[in-house]
Amino acid sequence: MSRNVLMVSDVVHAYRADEVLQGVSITVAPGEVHCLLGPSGSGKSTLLRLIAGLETLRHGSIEIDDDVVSSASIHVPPERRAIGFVFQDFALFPHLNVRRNVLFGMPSGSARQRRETADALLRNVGMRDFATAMPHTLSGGQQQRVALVRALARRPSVMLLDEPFSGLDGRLREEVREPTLEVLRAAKVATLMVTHDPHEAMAVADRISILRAGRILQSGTPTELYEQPRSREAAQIFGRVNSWAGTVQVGIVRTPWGAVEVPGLDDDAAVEILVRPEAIQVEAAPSGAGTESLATVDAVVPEGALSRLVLRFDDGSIFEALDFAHAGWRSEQAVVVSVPREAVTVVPAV
Amino acid sequence: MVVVLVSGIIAIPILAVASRVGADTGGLWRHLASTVLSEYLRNTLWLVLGVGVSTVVLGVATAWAVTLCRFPGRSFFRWALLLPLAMPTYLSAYAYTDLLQFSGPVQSSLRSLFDWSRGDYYFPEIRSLYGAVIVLSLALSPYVYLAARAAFVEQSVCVLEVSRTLGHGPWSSFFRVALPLARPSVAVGLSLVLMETLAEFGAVDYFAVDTFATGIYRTFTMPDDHALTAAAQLAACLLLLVAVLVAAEAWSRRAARFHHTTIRHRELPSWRLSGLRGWLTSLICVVPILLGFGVPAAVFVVESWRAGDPRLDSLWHLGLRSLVLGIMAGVLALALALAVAFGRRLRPTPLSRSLARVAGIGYAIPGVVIAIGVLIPLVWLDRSLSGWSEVLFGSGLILSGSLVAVLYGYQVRFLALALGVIRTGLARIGPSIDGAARTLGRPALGMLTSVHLPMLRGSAAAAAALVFVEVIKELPATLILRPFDFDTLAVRVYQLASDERLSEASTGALAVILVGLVPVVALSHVLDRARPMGPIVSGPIEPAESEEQSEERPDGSSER
Repeated sequence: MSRNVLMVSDVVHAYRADEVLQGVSITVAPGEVHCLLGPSGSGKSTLLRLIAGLETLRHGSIEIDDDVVSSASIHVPPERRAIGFVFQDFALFPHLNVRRNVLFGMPSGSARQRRETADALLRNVGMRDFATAMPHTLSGGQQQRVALVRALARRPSVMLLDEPFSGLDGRLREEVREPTLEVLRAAKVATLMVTHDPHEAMAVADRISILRAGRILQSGTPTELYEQPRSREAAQIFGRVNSWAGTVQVGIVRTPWGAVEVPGLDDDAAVEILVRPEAIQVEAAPSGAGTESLATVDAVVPEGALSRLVLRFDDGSIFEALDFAHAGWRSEQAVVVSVPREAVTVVPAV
Repeated sequence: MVVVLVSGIIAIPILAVASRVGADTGGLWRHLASTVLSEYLRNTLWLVLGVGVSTVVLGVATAWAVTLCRFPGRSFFRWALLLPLAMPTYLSAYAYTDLLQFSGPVQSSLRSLFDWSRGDYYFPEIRSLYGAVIVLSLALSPYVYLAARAAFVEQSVCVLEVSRTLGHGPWSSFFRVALPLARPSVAVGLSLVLMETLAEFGAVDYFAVDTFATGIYRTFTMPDDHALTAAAQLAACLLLLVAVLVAAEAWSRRAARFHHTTIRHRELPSWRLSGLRGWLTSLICVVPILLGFGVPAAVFVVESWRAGDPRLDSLWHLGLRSLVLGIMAGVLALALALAVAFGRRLRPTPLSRSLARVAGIGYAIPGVVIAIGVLIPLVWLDRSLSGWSEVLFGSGLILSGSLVAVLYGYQVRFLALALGVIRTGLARIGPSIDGAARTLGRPALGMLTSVHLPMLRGSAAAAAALVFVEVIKELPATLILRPFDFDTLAVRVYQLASDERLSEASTGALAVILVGLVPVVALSHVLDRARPMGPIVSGPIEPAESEEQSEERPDGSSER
């Protein structure tokens, strides 16, 4: 697990005017699913095409299985790289049936052996009965599975998935996701998957790299990214976040709900305090309580099992909290707000 | 590399014609300039003007009626309006001359009916500039019809409905919304019509209307040492007109590129035209079909029934020869088109793109011009090789006046057709298919043969067939480039008709018409599926919200 089969180092590349990679580095280990998360135009598909060898690299390097396959001077053609690629539209060859699609990229061997391998792979994903079906007769989910098996049949070290689930409808997407990743993990391939859907990345990835405007904003496990975002931008990708701009005064920052300790930061440093809504603890204010950390419920927005509370502090600042709906908060209610220190993220102000 | 080679081969004849502009013609050019040049120019321009105006009126009106109105026979007219495409203009000209000349059935019956004799009555002369305008307009209006129809079909119904809710009636909506929106497409159709008009040879030659095209041929056949050079200079003049046309077309495309602001397509509204109005519309649609196809076809059917070609075995022989020639040209064009299109696909650089455009320019160039342009380099090559070839083949002329020259001319003229079909087919194969094939272990060339070629089977057949049909119908380039005494079906028909032996020509003419019907029938099948469609490959991909596609086109426009 320790060795990385895919190493992308300091890749700089301009694809079109709006698709520019500015020094991107990424590693993926065998059996790991690494999600590249970014909006369209962030350069994530370009990176996949570079790794696959479908584009020629100009700066930086890409290594697969410890061999440099792309650099300013080396370009191993795509057909000689140990990669599999599943495209957004699956790109099944319409003139070949399912089995022939799978056989297309398979290493040479006896015809019977190849056929048995292909059928075994198809059986793995429940598509054995469709071996002679033509691609256009399959549903989206079935096409996706065939595309996956076809790419796996080459026994690649690295699997590249370009928005593999975005062609599928909502519920089907979730049904297909788990089995797909199970197959990939079982095959011990290093998987790099591109997506623009943060929830999808959260659900499937061992590690996530956030790509924004050609740069990696932050890399880490889903929990790390959610709980310890390195900037407000990174934090907002995975859900709502409250932010408070302040300056450090003798190791603390004053916030509407109280002082936040920030040991080690210089005085007068401008910082941003980030808090997820569910981390804000709300209690009914006992009558006659002090003014410290007292707020008023401005609005209660029902969101099914949970309710979103819009809290207004005395200084006019607004924060959002999340609590169970059955807690029964009402507008105009006075509340006491507290935030555990470990739920607070302090980032430098932009 | 291949792209460079093919586009070079295609460009040579055009450059050859241009290169002769300043060359010495021993006074022949001055003679032509002072005598016939102004007439060529006048006739050509009148022809262009007349045909242009009438094809637009005819094409747009019928397209609008068939697309958006409901009237008796609509679904028949939708494809039947294409029928005139199967009728080569020269055949139409022969038929109408036969029908309307002094000794023809129309005038004869009038005379016997009213006891007139020559000079007692006025009858319009079909063999005139006006006759040529009418025959050409009938034959070429399907181009405008096709373009306008595609535009009307593609227009969002919403804009028409908005226009109605803003207080404009159907007529006003047509002129203020539908027509302006369709203008770019109509302009493309019109430019095709005008290119064909400039290239027109058979009909105007038969009608003795001297245009550049017939003038070039006549000059070429003059017994003068400088005939080829003088013909090339006339050809250069015609080339200039073509260039103006191509530039105007490109400009109108750029100037009027409308984007549909809504992509909602619904069942097109159909305004029911009832009673007299309905039948009147039917009549308007019937006229171009009847005059552009029905009447001339009937003339040939009747003539070949009554007399026909007495030398059927030699006709059979010529038919076979045309068939082989057409197949050779079609397969060759297919091979070249595949080479160019694949070359472009593998290396989509700006250079390969513009070179591929050069390879496709021939269709705008009249056949006579191409023939002259092909002869110039081949004659030169022959002269340089004559020492060798006389030793090897016992003849000094191995290239010019051989099948090589004919096939070369066909490639220059018709490669664009094959290229267009192949490129459209290739464009439907998404780039991810390339990526999939490459990452599944195929090198570039292997990918093209194992994936793209099988997927292009249909397009390839269509491309070769299209060129085949055009070659069967082609006249001027064949006339100039063919080996001595080498007749084809079209040449035989032309020669018999020129000798006023129309009933003998009728059998061959029918054969040419039948071949010409093939693409028309195919086209009419395509037409009915012309509403905007999702990806060909498979349906379920569609809800992808096409994220990658919007990356391709940041403005989110739907350019067609």
